Amino acid sequence: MINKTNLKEMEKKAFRDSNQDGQMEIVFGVIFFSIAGYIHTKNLPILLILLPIFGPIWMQFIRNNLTYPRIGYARPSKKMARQIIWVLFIYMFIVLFMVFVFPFISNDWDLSLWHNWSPVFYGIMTTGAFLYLGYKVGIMRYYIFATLSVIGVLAAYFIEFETLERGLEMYFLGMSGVMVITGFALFFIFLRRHKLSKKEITDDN
Amino acid sequence: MITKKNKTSSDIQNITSVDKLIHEPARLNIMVHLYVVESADFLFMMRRTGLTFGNLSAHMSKLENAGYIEIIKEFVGKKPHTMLKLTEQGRQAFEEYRKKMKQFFDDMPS
Repeated sequence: MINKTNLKEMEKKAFRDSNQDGQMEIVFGVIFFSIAGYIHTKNLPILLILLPIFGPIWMQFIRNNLTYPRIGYARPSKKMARQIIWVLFIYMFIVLFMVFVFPFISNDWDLSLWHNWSPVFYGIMTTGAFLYLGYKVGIMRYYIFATLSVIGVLAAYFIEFETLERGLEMYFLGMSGVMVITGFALFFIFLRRHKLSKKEITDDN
Repeated sequence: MITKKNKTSSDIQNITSVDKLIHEPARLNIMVHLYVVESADFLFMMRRTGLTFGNLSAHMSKLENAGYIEIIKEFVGKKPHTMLKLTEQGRQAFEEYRKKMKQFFDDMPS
């Protein structure tokens, strides 16, 4: 048994099991929707302010009442959670650093190029984040999101929208739609697959 | 000089020194599943290990008495909620067990 037991794989499986309810995808979708709103209005949309406050409260409420009574609850290993946050932070920092470094290493750079290349930078950020999450926790659908992200960015870059912002806005709206629909579909599948046990497991058992 | 015969007998002695509390299949199952998470509740452990509530409770008590597991009582809303967590001692014991078993199987002639 001990030889066949792959602890890393079990760690990933525990994480996957805890995130099979689609809530993570819905949160990602709302984040993308907020970014689209930000690009559209040029003001900080109310969603972007409310999200950090009400997002975790909402997710906790749903999970406490619908997810955990069905499948139980496991807190992922701190090491793994810390590593994911740290790698994503470093990755975003490097991409942003490159965005600001490009003008200095290129001889014929002007501000309009910065503007033109922004879909590519957004795409690198989201695609990289999805690829890393897919690799780290072994959830296949994150690879599909990464592929869709590349397609979306290419579409935003090549399709002639009225303005570049409109292209980006459509990209984030599209991604938001995909994530939210996937999240709700996963949630309904989860509810159907894991019926609430008639005999509740409580501390009194 | 260590002869092949001496080495084999030392390997066998090595296997006899494994932690028997962990070596029991149901408890090993519990230890493995708790090792890969920070903490987990009873329902999660029952689903993952396939043990019944009573069986799981009995093994948990043994592991708790040995200091390998910590039982944390929390409240989720107004409901009491029990979380199970591997202690540092439990983590070390499991790593030691794993090392010994791996060593034993690696040294076993094929």
